Amino acid sequence: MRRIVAIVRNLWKYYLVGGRAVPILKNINMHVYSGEMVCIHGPSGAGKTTLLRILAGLERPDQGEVIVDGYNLTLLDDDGLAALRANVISYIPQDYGLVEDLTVYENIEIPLMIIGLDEAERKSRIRWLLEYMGLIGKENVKVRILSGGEKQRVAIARALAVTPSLLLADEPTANLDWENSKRVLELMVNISRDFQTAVVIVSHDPRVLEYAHRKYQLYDGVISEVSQNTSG
Amino acid sequence: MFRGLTAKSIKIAIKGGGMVYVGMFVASSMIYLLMFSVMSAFLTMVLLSFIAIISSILSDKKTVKQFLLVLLLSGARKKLILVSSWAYCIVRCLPVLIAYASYAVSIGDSILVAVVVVFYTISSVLLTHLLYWVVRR
Repeated sequence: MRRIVAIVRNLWKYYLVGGRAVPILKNINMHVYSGEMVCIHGPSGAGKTTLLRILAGLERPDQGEVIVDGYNLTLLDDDGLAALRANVISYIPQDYGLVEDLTVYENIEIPLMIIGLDEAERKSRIRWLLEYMGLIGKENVKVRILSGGEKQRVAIARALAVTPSLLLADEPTANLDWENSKRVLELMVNISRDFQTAVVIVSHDPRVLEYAHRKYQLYDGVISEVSQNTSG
Repeated sequence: MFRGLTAKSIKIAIKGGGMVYVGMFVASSMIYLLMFSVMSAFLTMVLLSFIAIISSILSDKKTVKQFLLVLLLSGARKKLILVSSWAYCIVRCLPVLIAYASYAVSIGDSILVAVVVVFYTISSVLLTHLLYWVVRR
């Protein structure tokens, strides 16, 4: 039976524009099940990244609540949100969220250090992740010299290092050609199936929608579910 | 956890291109101070060194921002992020701190040594909070 990993209820977010509070997200209601990939589609400026950052606990809503894995994000302080990001929620920003001057190994090692794994455990976990991502042989390569597709896979490996319940990816195909995009999207689908992780992708590319189990449309801060396919 | 991430932070600080600027500033200012023994210029040099350190961090701002962002996204608590960025800042201050403290010792002015150490310690803490504030935004 599928478990609800994330619930968003009556969420509003305002930004101050010229001293006036302008609603960016208007009464957002959505949910995400474990083991499914959800795509939030919409044009630039619709509020997709803001919604994703709120789901990641990087921004706070002005009204409404966000519940992830049973934790109400709106009730947690900064350290509580950090603890959730360390164990439950992983977020991949559009620019990959990697340190380009560090190696692939060192980048993936950071979240494992934060959760306190010892060196031997980190080594075996990273080895396994590199195999899963098809990055064996790249562990000592600096991220700076990798291709866009490889950087995205390293970013996914970093995000997957702690096996999160909720994986959030902001425009994961925006900087890639379609061949690399397909590979990344297939990887995301595999992750949702293999780890029962709830994957949420935001994208303005309509081709991404065909990979998602469920789709939401976000337009001018208003969300609507466009279809509901079964995902197991 | 703190030790491993602080080590990474120190590595980034040492290997960043901005460290060269700090080194060059230290070399040129020490040559000036030792050749001309202009005591009144010393405090001005200390203030100028702060600008040199900020410039060196700005020249590596992309890497610093990426590192702190990865820490934030990976679930590091505020204290861990502050400790890691303080390690970065203190490594950038260290060449100037050592050079100027040695200069103050060489002219036998213990008050000056204290001023130098306190100035760079406070500066690095302020820079740490500035970096956290910038990345958190």
